[in-house]
Formats: sequence, C-alpha cells, structure tokens
Amino acid sequence: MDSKSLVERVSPLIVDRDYQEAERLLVESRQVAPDTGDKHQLHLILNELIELYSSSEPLAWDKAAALSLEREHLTRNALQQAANIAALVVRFATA
Amino acid sequence: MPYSKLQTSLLLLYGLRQHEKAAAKLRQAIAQGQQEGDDRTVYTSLSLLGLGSLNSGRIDDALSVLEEIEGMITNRRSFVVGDETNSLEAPEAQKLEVDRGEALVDFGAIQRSKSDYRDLHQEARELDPNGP
Repeated sequence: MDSKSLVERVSPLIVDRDYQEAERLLVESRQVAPDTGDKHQLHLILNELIELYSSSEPLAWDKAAALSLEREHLTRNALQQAANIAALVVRFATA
Repeated sequence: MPYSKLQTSLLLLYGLRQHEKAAAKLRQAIAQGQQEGDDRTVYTSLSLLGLGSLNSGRIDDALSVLEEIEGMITNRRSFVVGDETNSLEAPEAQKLEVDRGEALVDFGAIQRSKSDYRDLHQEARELDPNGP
C-alpha cells in the first residue's frame, strides 16, 4: 500500500477511535516497508504509529517513545546514506 | 537530525514524564543542532531545558540556559520566539499551559533582574497577563 492510500485508510479509523484496526494496518505496513527499502514510507509509518500511540485510549507513551528513538536512527541513517552518495558523486566527478 | 531528538524528548517529557531522560535528549538535540546550524531546534530545546531546570529548582542551570538563549538573540540567530509552543502539540501538554505560562513569567523575571531581557519577559506576560 502506498503512503497516500495508507494515510487515507488510517486517518478515518483514528477519527472513529478504531485504534486497534489503525494499529493493525500500520504494523502490517511497517513489517513490509523495510523489504521495499522505502525509507520515506517507513518514516511515515513511524510518524503515524507515534501519533496513534500518543492519542489512543489508553495512551501508549512507552510505545510512542520507543518508536521515536527508532525514528531518530532511521533519520540518521538516511542522512548518512545521503552523505555517502554525495561523497561518491564528488569522487566520480573529480576522477 | 536534531529535530527528531527534540520530538523524542517531548514524548519523554510530556508523555512518560521522565524528566532526566528528556533533559539528556534535549542536550543531545542542542549539541547536534549547534553542530548542524539548526537554530530553531536549538532554541526550542533550550527553552524546554530551561523550563525543566526552573521547575526542578535548578536556578543556576536555568540561568545558564537563559544566557545561551540570550547569546542566540544577540547573535541574531534565525529562530522565532515562541517556537517552544511546539511542546503544546503533545495532547497531554494542553493542561500544562497555565503552569508553563507561570514558569515563563518566573523565567523572564529572573533574567529581568539580571539584565535586559524584554523579549522573553514580554512573551511571558502574553501567556500569563496576571503574572508578576
């Protein structure tokens, strides 16, 4: 499921307080996301899950905080990857 | 990215109420933000760290944070005063607004007696007009 479709399915569920179904969809998508290598998609799923755990009933702050730490690592890795690519480009451009 | 560390600190602070862990994460966000020139994140993190210090009675730490913010203002770093209201986005933070306003008044009052810090004090007055 692409990012847009996922948000379109999850958002109304959260509004309707169907937190279980929203979580099920997001967790399912999260399990598939690393396989596709789509970091943007994974970032979005983490954002949505954190939002969900911060507003669901009951609140799940511990889960939200754990995922936020994961999001930090994901962002750092993405930046490192971008830096590596930039370094490669410079290397080839100057070769 | 320092902003993601700031986001984590907000969850630790307002969600789990783990103040020490949140402060440690804020310090990471500040250090990384200074390294990467992310002034907005640095400013917001400093504001939260200062309030945390103030609320826990660590006045020297709060003043030290204020000096850092003052330094950013003096150096005309690019941030908007009031960015710390991001913290109110956390649902649990809504009910903290009154406390926060009072804390900011105290925060500004300390600095007012120390040196000219009109901007921060003005912001505090807007949040809590009945304050000192």
